[in-house]
Amino acid sequence: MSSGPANGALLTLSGVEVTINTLSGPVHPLQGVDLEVYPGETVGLVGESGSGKSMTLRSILRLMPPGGAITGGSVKWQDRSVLDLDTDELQAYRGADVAMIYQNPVSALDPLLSVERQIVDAFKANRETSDGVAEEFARDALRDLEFGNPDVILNRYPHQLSGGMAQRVNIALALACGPSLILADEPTTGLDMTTQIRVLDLLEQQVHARNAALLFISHDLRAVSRVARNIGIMYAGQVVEFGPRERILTDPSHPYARALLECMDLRTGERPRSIPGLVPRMTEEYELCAFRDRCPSRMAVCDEERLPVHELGRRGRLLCHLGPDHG
Amino acid sequence: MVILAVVLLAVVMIGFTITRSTGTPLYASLGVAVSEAIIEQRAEEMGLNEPIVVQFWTYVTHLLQGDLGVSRISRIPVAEDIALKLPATAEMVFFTLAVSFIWAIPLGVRAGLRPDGKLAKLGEGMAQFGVSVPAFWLGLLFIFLLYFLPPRLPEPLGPLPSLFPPPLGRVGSGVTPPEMVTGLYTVDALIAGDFRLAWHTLWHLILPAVTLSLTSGPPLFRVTRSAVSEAVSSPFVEAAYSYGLGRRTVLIRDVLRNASPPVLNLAAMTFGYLIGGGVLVEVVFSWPGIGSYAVWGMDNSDYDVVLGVVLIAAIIYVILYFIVDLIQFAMDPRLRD
Repeated sequence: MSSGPANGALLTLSGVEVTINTLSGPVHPLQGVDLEVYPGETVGLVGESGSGKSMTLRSILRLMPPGGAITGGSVKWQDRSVLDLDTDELQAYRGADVAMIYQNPVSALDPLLSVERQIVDAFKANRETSDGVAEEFARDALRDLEFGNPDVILNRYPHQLSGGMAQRVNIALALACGPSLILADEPTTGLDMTTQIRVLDLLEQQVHARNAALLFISHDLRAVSRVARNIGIMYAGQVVEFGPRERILTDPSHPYARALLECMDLRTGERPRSIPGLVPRMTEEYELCAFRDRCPSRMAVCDEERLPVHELGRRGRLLCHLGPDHG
Repeated sequence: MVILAVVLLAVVMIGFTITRSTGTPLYASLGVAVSEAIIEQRAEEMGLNEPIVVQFWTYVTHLLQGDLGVSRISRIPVAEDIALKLPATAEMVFFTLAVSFIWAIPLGVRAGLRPDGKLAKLGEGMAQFGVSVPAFWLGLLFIFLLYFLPPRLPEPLGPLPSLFPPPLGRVGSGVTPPEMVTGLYTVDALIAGDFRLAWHTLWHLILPAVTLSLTSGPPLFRVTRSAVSEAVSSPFVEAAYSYGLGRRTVLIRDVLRNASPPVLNLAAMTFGYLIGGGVLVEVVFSWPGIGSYAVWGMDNSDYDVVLGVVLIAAIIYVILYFIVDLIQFAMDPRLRD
């Protein structure tokens, strides 16, 4: 591994595996995720639903669904192992170091509590302070997030907010924790187009204003490329290719990344195509490449050997037998 | 308040119709060995020969003046009897719910949080037992095991003293009940400053309350479990954890608050149900409550007694639901809009 505290990464995931025991048997949503996030940078993760994007974020916060557990690999925050934190340390790490913005903004808010109470509680959970300071913060944060009348919004309840408003409140909640890394789980998926762009811009602007890093996941490559400097492509519980936005968007190496780009390519004006074959079932643990059944460049070696890891420069990685230099 | 009036009017009308159509109090009050003339005279006295509409009108006008009528057997005003017997039932029901709140709710919360834990299994076991056993039988079993059996155990073990007092009502024989203030003996004894008597009345309450709680608590356990398990898997609970809020804070602030509406509703329903539904347990423990009073009234076709109890139970139901609505209104901003 080229990562770790030596090169100053905030967050380092290596070989993270998650297993969820369900009634119909174990599911393996993460099968060896490698990912680094550096201070102040914006990283995007793209993949189809079920590729493990959300689970990656949850493993960073160690928030597992019922029956779920991190069964392999390591999660490091700077030089500390997140998986070894005890309950109190974990509680201190959540929020203050890493906070999350959720996909469905209204249901991520407690329906019985006012906006003010929720922001104040998140603020106070992460520092020694008074209600007055917390309320002041809440008002300022809402103003920063372009609410015309913060005092009105503070007294509202979640059901009185539109989707876009609720998502901006969620951003305020994450900011209230004062984290160095913000995780955003498809934060704009449920919103209409103009609201999406506005919320994305505000999120980006506020994250940068606070010198925080952002790990942004979406199935929408356009949304990711709008905010992320580095992009990872996820497939079947792995980050199969990672690199700077320019390279991933113009000249990706992994056949899946290419296929994804092709079907999202809007320049051609054609109807978006789908990738032939079926999305892999995560009840299986893949020893070999999980994409090979759908891969147009499948080779004999793909059916025989485990995936090699090609490191491409300082911020690039590829998991494919083809290697980085093929056609 | 309008709903309250409508509900009560409906209860009076239905109750009135049913009681009048199922028998006559004449033979019960006079016996069967009387002549037709005496029966006829008595019917005239009691107003039973009037058209049913007139009888209803008479009943309702009396009711509106707070007059629930007079028992045709004992000649005691129904309101007086109910005032005496309702506190006995209310005390038993309060303690039953208190016992349920001690076991069913905490076990339900725990089972909702950790569905595979030992306590979840214990709760489910108790719930299974409680729903499959009739309350009166369980009461008899308790009496047998805790009162009857210990003094009769053979040599090496016994004889042992009885663990519980004989099932002879609210106080033991020869014990004077406390002076009536609320009608709840434990409370009245405490008001009178008599701690021995308070302890004595509490001791008499435990078995009926435990019996009723075991049989009426299972739904509370199950509803609490499902409400908590639903609340705990809500996105906002995960979000609360992700902001660095502690386990206890999230449990009280988010999980329990959001899980409480169905539990509160069911608690109110259970209370209302037990007011009339604890009759068999009242009988087993010789508890002089309104359940037994109603059954006595039914036996004698004593219209006013039966209707009086039905009406009081309905009023209690309506008031309870009103209180629960107020609490939920205060707790849930969605209901206020």
